[in-house]
Amino acid sequence: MQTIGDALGFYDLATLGALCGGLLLGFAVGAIPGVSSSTAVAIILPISIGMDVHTALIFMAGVYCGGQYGGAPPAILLNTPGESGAAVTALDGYPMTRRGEGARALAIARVASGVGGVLAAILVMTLFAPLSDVLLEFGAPEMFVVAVLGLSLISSIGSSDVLKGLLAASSGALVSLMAADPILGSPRVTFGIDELYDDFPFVPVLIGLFGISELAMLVRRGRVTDLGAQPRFDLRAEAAQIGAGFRDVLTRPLQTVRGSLIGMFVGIIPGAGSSISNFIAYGLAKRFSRRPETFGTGNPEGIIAAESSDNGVTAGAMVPTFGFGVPGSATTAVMLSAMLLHGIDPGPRVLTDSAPLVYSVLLGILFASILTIPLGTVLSSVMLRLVTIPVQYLVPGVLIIATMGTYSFRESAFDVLLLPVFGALGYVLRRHGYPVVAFVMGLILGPIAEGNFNRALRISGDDWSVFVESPITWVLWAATLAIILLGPISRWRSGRRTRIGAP
Amino acid sequence: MRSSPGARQVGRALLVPSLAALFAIVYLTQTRDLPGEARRFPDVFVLAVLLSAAICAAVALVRLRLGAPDVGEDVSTAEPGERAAAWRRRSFWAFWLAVPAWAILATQVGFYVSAWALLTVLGTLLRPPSTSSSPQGRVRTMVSTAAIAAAIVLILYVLVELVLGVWLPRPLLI
Repeated sequence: MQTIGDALGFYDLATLGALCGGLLLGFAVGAIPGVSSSTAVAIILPISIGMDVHTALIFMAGVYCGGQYGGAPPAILLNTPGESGAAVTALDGYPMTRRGEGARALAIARVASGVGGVLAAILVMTLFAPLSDVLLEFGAPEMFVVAVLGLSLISSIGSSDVLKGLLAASSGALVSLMAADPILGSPRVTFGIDELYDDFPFVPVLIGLFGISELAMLVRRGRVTDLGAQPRFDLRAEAAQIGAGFRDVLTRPLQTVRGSLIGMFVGIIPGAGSSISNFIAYGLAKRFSRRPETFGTGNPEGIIAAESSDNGVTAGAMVPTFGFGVPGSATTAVMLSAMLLHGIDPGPRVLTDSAPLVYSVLLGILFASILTIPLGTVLSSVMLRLVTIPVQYLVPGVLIIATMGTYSFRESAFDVLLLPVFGALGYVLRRHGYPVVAFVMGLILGPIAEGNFNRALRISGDDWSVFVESPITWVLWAATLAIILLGPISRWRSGRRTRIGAP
Repeated sequence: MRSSPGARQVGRALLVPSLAALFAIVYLTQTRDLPGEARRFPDVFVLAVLLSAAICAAVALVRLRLGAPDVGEDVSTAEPGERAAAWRRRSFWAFWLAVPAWAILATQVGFYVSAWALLTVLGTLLRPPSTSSSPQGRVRTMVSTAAIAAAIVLILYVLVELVLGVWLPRPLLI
């Protein structure tokens, strides 16, 4: 309780302003198909460096929460999911709109999102206290294996193809090692460029990989959506439906709690994300429903399951990010970079050394989830207008903001020149089905893994058996091996079954 | 069903694995004179990249032979017609020329002047073809876009320099 009290102490007018600003930005990027919260967080990364670390992380948590809900209005009213997780919301949301209940569906999404986020945040805060005791057992060898486990998880779960995920993750890790070696200070593949010797340039690399590549995808598509006309949504005229939507959620507490729990637990798994959690929550809601045949035709329970799970992911993703220094999602990968740039080393000690900071971010998620309900109600029509924003305004505008942020970070022209390089790399990876998020995970986990690898070997006197000595490392290695092998084995078995079944 | 893949398809399938393998080889050659302590950790990843690149390339080739090439993120739209497709191709290449040009100009010439040029050029080129079909129409579009761009840059200047107090490269042309 003392820690939560300390965390609340971080909240003043500026912090609350940052949270609300982040939430609004999240709504905007969540609503625009093809622009994600990870892109927004990457673009604001340089701005956040000028803030206090807690304000910066709370701001980013606001963007993350806003982005999770932001995808719902276009999914429900236009059948155009703003983010991947919202595709599940559209399954029942759009049929409700077609029968004239769009405002009710939106209200369901808002309340389920808000309640789901609040429940998951409270649960994670409760979970962190016992977890911090367990995490203190983790030394350098264990943390090295955790980083390897994180890389394999993101490669296999976060990608449809394990091999492509592994190639992207290991390439990312190798790129992050283009810096001075941490023990002797010898330059490694820096080509005599001072900016590479000092520190790995995370800011331009992340903005390039997420932001510029996403803009290129938008340009390639030619427009944000295929919708021609501007959608309309009148708040006052729909007041009765909004009330009905609130009642829909409040009279189905079990569905909301179940969705939130699923979201939280899936969020803990690095790389799993809201698209997986929402489908699981939706599937279970359908399975346990008394009217499963109505799912997909406009059943409020479908929206409740998807949206409560969607926001549960946000709090869940903070567990591996803070506890192990392994990001749970693309957005938390950028948040982790922000922590590193602020000089905070995420990992087991952060829960004891910087507990108020961790709890302040979780409180940020809790407050943002609550604020989603009133702010989302007022801003629904604005969010819908964003869906039809023309590419010719969106692309150069975001490009200018991204470049400005990159340059102002350390006033380096070299950083600005890295933007198109990593933007092109991100585009090539996406067009060929290689997960950008695995590459970013490699970038972030590479130096963390190297630090723990060197520390472990120094402590053990260069004895490599240190990595398999403790029972914790056995479990972690077994999990890593299982994760790498599980995908190919299950694919081989399903292929074999198909061949046997074929005439 | 088996089919013979074309050179273009093979090139596309091997692009990412070849880039990754090339980078790993460059890394290896650049670090081979370093002491073992500085090299031992990256060496593990060099090996991982080379191995996974080789396997990815092999798998991609096998898939091509089986007539099921790798697919990445979808960029298709519902917009039909050869004209729209040509416009999308042109916009795409204009974007990739504009991004590095903008990066160089913004840091070497000046941020605000380059921002105005970028907004004008991309604002015109990325506009759907229906609104700028005739030469006169295109000129009108460009002039109006340039005027809007100037207003946006002015607002940006006031916000960034005067409100936030962030220093950006000085424009040399004003």
